[in-house]
Amino acid sequence: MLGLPRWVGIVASVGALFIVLPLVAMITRVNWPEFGALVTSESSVAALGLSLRTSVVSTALCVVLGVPLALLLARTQFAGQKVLRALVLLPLVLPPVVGGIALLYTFGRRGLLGSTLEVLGIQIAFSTTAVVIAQTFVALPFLVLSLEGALRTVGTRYEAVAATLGAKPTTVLLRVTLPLVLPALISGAMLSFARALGEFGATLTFAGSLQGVTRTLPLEIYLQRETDPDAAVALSLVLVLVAVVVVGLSRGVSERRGSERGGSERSLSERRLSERDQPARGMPL
Amino acid sequence: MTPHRAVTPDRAVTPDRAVTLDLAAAVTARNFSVELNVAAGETVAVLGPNGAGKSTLLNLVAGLLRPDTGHVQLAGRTLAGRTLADPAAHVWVPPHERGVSLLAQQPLLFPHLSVLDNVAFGPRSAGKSSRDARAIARIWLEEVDALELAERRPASLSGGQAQRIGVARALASDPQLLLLDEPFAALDVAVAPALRRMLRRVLESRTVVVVTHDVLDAFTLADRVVVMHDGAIVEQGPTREVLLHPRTRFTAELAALNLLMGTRVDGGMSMGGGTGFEGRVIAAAVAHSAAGAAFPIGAAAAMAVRPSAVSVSVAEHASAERASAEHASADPTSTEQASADRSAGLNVLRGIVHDLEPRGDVVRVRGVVGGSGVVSGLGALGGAEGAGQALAADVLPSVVVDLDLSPGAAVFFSFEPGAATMYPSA
Repeated sequence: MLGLPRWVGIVASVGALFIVLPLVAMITRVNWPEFGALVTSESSVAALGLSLRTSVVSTALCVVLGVPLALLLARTQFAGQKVLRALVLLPLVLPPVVGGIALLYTFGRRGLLGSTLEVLGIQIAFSTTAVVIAQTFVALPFLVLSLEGALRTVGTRYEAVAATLGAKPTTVLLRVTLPLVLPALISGAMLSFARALGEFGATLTFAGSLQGVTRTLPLEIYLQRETDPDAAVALSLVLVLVAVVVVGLSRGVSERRGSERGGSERSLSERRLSERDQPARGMPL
Repeated sequence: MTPHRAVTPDRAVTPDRAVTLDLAAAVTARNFSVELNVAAGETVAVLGPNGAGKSTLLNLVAGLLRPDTGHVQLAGRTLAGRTLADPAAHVWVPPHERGVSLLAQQPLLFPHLSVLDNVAFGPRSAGKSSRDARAIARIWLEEVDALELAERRPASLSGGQAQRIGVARALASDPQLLLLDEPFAALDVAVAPALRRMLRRVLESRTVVVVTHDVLDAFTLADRVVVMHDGAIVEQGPTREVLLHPRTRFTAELAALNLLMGTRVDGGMSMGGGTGFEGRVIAAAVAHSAAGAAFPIGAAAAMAVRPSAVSVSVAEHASAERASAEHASADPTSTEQASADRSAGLNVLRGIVHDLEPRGDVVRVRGVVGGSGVVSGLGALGGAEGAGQALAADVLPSVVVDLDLSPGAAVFFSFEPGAATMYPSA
């Protein structure tokens, strides 16, 4: 082994503690005797169920929208491509609450599309649909980023061979390109799922907090913190466990299938997951 | 194999069709400008060093690259460029509609498919049912002696096995034209011969363009060779004619032959002054061009001689030093032997060592013979003009040490007339 300076190890330990210690602190506050009751209360189960359902739907949306986007970014060249890439990745760095406000002025009652939809009798803001839209908005870049990288790594050589064997572009895409990047697609989808599950700011801003309709698990935790800290801690632990499982699965997929991407996205997702930003002012709670 | 043929009767009846590749294309950015024709059923080897434009040529035919100007036609159908019928329209046929299969240096088997499904990929893409496609795949796996690998994953194959499957996959798509890009370059030398034999068998009567930098591939597979250099064809013709009687420096390098140019004289070739023998070298074998062109005295001539047949000495009278390189039994110090060689007509050329390159158990001594630069370097002979010609000799390491050879050393290169072949250079 190449010797590293001793101080690197010391600083690294501090860094690791910085992540682990808060989790440990939280676990020490779990009210174990009541844990079962706390996580199975009516509001908890409703929130967990809603979170899982909406996250699954938004992950599916991320795949449907993100795969073509990643293909366009990785396999073609057109004017404004760099701008498009920057815009698609914007939700990664945008404060979620800002995303929520942007969505509100798009799909809200007086929003860009909202007023048209209102005429058609469709109201999106403060509905479960709004939760899904908010989650998709913030989670989509994870899938696009992960998949675009994998597409570039795989290259076009297999696709060229498939074409010279007589395969039409759609056949090449479905039988060669997508199977080759499947590990990245799966791990990207898992990261999107994790991000959707942890979504708070955009959801609260755009969808509000109505039990069973828009109050997802992170919102439930934030509310319970005021009235029942034990329930908040118990539910937080549930979210941590789900996050650990998702990250573990995603890592397992990338390692087993030989995809080297995912590390940077994972750290980003964890940062986002832990960033429980404050609710915006004037929230309809 | 024959009983299985029934599944694809069309192939059994017409193993080859009247396909002709007609390419005349330029790619400005790559300084590429080539005109190439391939007859139906012909295997053409494209030879050249890295960067000569061989892969560009293949990509143009396969449809992976667009020519800036020119056209690509296959069996009378325009694949790229302008057609005679409608000169205004710019035709572009995408790769999957060309009927051109490409087998690259790496077999690039789809890692997520079994061997059988890899080979069935082409037929499947052509619209065959999964069952029929697999039946065809089995025929081709058997054709390349790899049927037992059908259920394996590509990752579990050896390089040679994978390349066999690559051949089967390329042929199973029933291409009108097969392109092979350095098919043996990534293979272990031990497995290449068997694969070469297999390819020669399955490529029989097919229309094939094989890109290679290995003359052995060309000798084994090709009816005709095309030599490329710097994006252009520098020489082409029947394989043996081109590779045994090179007329350009590039071809001679590929064929590992020394090429000397001069003018035909009675019984040999004159290289001009400064080379020794009044610039005259003698060749026992005179090959006339395949076209049967006249080769009179005074015609431009070329001479080919293998580096291993050339020996090096430091003094003209000791030219029998060659004996230590070729005939260990001979006494290298025997001046009598040297005189005997001279009287027998041993060619002795003055030269200067340019560089020394160890090549396994021999050292290749590259030098320049003839030319005014050489003469001034020797400081002895006058009246010589023109640039020198490159000449290489493969000698034993001990000879290099004994003669204290180093770049810049003045030496004599010698070879037997019987080792040289002379032929018209144009």
